[in-house]
Amino acid sequence: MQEIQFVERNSQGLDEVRVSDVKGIEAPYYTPEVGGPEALQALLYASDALEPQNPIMVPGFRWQGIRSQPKFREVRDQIRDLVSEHPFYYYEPVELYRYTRPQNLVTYAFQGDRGRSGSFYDLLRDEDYQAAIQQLPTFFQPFVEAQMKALLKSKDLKVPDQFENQSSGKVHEAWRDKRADSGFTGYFERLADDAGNAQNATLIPPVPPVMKSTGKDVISRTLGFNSYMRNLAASKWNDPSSGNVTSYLHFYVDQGVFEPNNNDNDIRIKQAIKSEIQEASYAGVALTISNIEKVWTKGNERALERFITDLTSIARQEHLPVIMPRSGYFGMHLTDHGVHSFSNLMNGNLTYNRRGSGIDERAKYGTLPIYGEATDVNAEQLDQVLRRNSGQLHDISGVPDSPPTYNPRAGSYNGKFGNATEFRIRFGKPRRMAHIKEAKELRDGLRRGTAQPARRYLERSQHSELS
Amino acid sequence: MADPSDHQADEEPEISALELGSDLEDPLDDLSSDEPSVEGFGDDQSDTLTRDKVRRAVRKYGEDGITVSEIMEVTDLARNTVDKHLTRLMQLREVYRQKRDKQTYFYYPNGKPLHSFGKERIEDGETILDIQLAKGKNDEMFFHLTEKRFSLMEGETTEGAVIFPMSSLDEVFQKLQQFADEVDK
Repeated sequence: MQEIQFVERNSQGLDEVRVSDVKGIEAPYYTPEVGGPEALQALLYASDALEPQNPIMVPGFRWQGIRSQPKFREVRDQIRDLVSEHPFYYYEPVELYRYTRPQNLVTYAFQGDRGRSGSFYDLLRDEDYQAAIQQLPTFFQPFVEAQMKALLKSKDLKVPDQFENQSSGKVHEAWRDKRADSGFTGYFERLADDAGNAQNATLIPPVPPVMKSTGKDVISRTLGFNSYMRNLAASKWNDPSSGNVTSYLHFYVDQGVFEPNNNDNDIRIKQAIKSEIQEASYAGVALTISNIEKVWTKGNERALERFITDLTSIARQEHLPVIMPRSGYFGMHLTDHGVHSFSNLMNGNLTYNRRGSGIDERAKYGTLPIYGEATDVNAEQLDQVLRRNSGQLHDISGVPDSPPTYNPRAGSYNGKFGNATEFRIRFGKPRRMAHIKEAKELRDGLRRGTAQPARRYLERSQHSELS
Repeated sequence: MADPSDHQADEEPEISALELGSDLEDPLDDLSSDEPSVEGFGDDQSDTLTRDKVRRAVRKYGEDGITVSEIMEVTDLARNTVDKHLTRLMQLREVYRQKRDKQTYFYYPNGKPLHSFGKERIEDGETILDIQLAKGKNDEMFFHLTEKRFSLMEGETTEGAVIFPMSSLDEVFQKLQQFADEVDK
């Protein structure tokens, strides 16, 4: 069915992926995900570490608001180069439509516009809840409404009776609300329009979570959202004045689907993907697994590996790549089973952190990966690593080996590492590019004929589940 | 008198993701079945999809010219919607029109983009020129040049376009060179 082959095996035995109109991206590859303005600053700082044509993932609906912030005007040409030299995945943070993260969702819905968020919160303070909800784009309304109690509490506002009995864990039910089920078109159109103004972009639509207990209506809805996005992308592709836009078939799967008593939802998902990509033209398959680490802690990793092997085989028959957003080292492990790309946010997280809670001094410095150990360290652990290694980390081309300032004798984190924001932008987040080096080594291993290079790398690491 | 069909597309049927995706039966019901995919849905309010409908109509039926009324008929869109998108498609040189009698305009496709050849790009300061090959009537090849500008807010937006047949490339180049030579003198 696919008119274009989006995966081809090269003479060295590596898969070469085409993302939008950018061909020849050797797999497996790491895709850094920009979560917000700070991550973009860090990525620009570390842009020399990116491989030519290395795909970049952005939160589609906020991307315009992020890149056009005043602080980026002085690096406008750098952003222009980034956009023209790399294909972009437009990925929507699906956890915002599933878990209770009300402040993140409100920020996202208003595309980071503080003025609009401010008006929304003013209305909440005035206890005009209905008017506040109506400020939001239609699609977002039921999702914010479903977490109103948590939102009001996080803002220290009074919770009225109408929201008092609201229980957490029900956010995903908003997908059934008419405002989401029908109101997504404007949201998707906006994503497609912005993607069309990039040189090469691939749209990955937001979809509801498929859990072990959910019925087939969730799979139907998932296909509906994907189908609509595919049509938008095809229209852009067909438009000579637009940039090159393609779309991936996206499934958001809960880790519980890989448990033994899963109501055969794993089979349903595979079959749905198979039918859909045989009948319609997609440019790839994206699979987001929520709480992926629990697959290992519950001992279901073999079921997941079988699922991935089947899925990548199905996709390969249609010449499509399979990528795993928000998968980190677990995604890296699954490259041995045919996955073409793994990714995570530049702070190392697999989801957006819930906002509104306090943050301690150490946490302000975030975490960063240690090459070879396949594990993230916090500021305290980093101090120990640096002490053992003369104040330096492994050499990673294009990013610094040591923090902007480092004083091992200082008593406070600020004294040791300087300003936390500066540290994150100029060191912590740029060091995320270690995954690019790791992916390159996996490819080198495959070229040499090494079987399962990811497993071999990870089993020698300090990773809590994969070593 | 207003054409009643003008308002036809203004009352759009509402889309539902569930209905869009429900064409696919439960895969476990019949693992061997080749169910049709989720294809096609009613008109919606998407400018992108609507313009593509008009574009496809002209490409598919416009080889010998197609009128606005005929486009309305095959797309089920209102006249003002068709007019709006035809105007934009003409600005972008995807479509051109000719008057065949005193009142009737006929619309023709300029060529379908050939993605297999990719795009070439020239960047000079703020100006970006995208060059794409297109195949037109009788398999004639065209160059489609799109002028774009970049801004942080909007990304790359199209300002205008030019199309000319590949067969006239030498002549076009020669004329441009003549201009350049005259300026140098």
